[in-house]
Amino acid sequence: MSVWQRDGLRVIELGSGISAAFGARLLADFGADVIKVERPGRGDESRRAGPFPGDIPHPEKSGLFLYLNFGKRSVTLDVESVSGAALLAELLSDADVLIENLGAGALDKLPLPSGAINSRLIVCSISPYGQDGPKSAYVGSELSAYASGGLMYITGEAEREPLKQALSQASHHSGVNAASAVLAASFLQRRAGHGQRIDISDQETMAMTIFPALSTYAYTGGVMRRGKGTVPRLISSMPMPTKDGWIMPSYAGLGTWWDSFAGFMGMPEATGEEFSTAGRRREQAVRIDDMFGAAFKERPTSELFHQGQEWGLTLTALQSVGDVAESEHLVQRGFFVEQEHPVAGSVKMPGLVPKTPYLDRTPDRPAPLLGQHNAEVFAELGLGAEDIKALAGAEVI
Amino acid sequence: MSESALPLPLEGIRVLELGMVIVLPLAISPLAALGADVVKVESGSRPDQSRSGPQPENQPRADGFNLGGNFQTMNRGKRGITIDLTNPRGRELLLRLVAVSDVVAENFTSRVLHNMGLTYDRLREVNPRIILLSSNGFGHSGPWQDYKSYGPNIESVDGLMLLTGYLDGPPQRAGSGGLGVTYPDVAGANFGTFAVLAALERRERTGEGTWLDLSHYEAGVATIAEGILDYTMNGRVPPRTGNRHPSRAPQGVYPCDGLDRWIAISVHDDARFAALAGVLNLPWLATDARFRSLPDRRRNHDELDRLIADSTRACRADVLERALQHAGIEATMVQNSKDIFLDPQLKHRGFFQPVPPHHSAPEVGARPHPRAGWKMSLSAPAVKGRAPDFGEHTDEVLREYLSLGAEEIQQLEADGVIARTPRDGMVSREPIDAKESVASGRFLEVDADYRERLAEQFRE
Repeated sequence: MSVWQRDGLRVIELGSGISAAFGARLLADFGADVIKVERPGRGDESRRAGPFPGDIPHPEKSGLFLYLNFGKRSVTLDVESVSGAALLAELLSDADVLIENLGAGALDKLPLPSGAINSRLIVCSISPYGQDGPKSAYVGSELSAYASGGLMYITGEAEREPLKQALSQASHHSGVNAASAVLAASFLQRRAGHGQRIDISDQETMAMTIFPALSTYAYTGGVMRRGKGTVPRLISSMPMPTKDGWIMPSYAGLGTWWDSFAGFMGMPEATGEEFSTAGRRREQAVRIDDMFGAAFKERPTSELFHQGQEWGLTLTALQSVGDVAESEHLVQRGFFVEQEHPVAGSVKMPGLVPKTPYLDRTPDRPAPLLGQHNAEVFAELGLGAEDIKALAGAEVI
Repeated sequence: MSESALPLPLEGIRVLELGMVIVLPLAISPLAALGADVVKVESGSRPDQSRSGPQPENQPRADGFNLGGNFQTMNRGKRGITIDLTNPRGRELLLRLVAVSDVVAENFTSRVLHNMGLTYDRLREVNPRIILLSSNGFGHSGPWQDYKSYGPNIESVDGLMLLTGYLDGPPQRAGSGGLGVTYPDVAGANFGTFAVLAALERRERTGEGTWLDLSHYEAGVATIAEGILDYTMNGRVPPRTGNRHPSRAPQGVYPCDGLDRWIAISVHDDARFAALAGVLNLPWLATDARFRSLPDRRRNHDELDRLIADSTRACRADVLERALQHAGIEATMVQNSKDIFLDPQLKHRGFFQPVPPHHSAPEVGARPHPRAGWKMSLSAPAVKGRAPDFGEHTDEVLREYLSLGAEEIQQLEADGVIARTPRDGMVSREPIDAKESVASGRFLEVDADYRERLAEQFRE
């Protein structure tokens, strides 16, 4: 008998919030058997994050938790206690992967029996600044990743403070990178029997997103900054207001198809000699903003988007989350799935990415209730019903 | 096996990359660092447009299409060949390469993929175990499958842009400053790397290849599920929240001493707030009725921001960062691209790796480029070498993979299947207008000493 049920990687997830959970979720999507270890009583922080149906907080109804954790099983374990850490060591003894975001150095401080991190185990740690270095003990969050990684400095307006992107991009992408690194390490594990330590920093996750700004400095000394209000909008690919919303003109595409773009916008006067090259258009950038800015304002977003695309132009709507959730394109691709959850009911959410003919986009099991699989998993470790009851009484599980 | 003799994880894996610009080359880049043999396929009429820039020392040169900085970041350690895929003989040659490869990665639109006859079904006929990564904006099914997009388009359709912006301002594109970076391209690339590795791992278990239909639109939505779920659960479209957070206060970005210097601060409980008030020399803040609890601070956030800014304005950002972190408060100096190169944390962690000098341009020297987004104790992603020159390895790869002889390769060149240089004007190498960039505010500065500074920072 084995605690494991699927034929993919055997993963123990230890931590809280988005990054470790999302990384483990992506692995589960492709067949990994993920056991999520949560704190007794409290569980994962994302159980308290929402959004909640009707805005009524409930640890089994957090949309974020349901999304990050479908396809997994949950056990509760106080890993800071000696007996809890001993049970964690049992779980690790025939796992392939431990993925955690407890904080830099925190894993090594757990009272694990020696040898619990065996040489075959892949240990993937995610933290704000990484496991080593002068800032590894710094506390961080989403905000610090954008600030220390440089994306914030070039987002927003020059006259105002640097601006964070919405929601939690850094944590999600550290999770994606964690999944990639774990999979890479699994090849070596399979071939040579070696596990290894993987170390992911949210700062580095975000710093990679500005690599063109980094090479601009390394190759020319230029230091990019947020745009002043005077920087031309259209040729900088900035969102432009329309009659009823916003449109994104991607200039990288429109510049290549300039005459076609001018034709679509009903502006033959923008196809003359003075607009004929990228350099000349840059000189005319203010005029271009005035001319096209006014034309955009006369037409509704959806018309500009869909008719523009029919003309082969890189114009897209700024969609709201509501537009996205109702997107016929995504519905036809089976992107949205209904998670049938025993407490939260049927919840519509994004499913597996990418689409592939071999895998169902709908999860085969909903997000677990807190400690839902304690009996099942701990029984596999050889614990009897009485032992489990005693551990629960001692608040170890 | 002793640890020092361990192979890189992906040694022996062959990847054909039929893609350009950013997302696909960047997605495949870590695979090269992990040991895969990545062969980048271009053609005379379709060279990779990202070969353009930025040019070393902002000096365009005839062979500049081999030297662009972004191109080096995305393509180091790959080999480069040319095949004209619009030529039927070229497609035939490609299929012969597919037969002896593990992964094909492409970023064509649906229409182009079908027109070229390079669908998954066709590839599977020549190689049943092949993994195909199709990476594009909208994917290969659904009513928008032929829609065209660049990075900014993805950020606009996936919902992120409408949520990003100051509380009282219009939507903002992430990284729109300067000459622009395209955040969604990197985001899509992260998913692409993951997808290929997941499919390879699955193939080890099942023996099956697969098709990965990766839509960047979907990858974007997959990272903003909190927002989507607020709509599907409550029918609500959340407003823009600037730098604020629903369960933290204060959270914001505050001015510091110096030109465009800022510090980001985030406080999640009363004890940290009291500590913040102490460090900022505003001890009365912690007991002021307006700021006593988190809901109080959320309610009076504007006023609190003003008070904090008045205090931080006189401080140096790096000094304040240290002082606040010492007190257990999340505080981070806002770093620009130059700061990031000089950051002792990133230096300690080897975030930048030198790409070796180019054989025909030794004066460019070894420049630092960011490595893949992780450290690994045994399989440290390695820089195997610089990015390939246009068509540099055509003969070598055709010999190695297909045992083609010199005469056959000559014939391919005569037939226009392979090319030695990109067709004239296919890669623009315009210099950056540095003066205009500073005047217009796109650049904070052009650092005259950047080469010395980098040499000093990354000296062995």
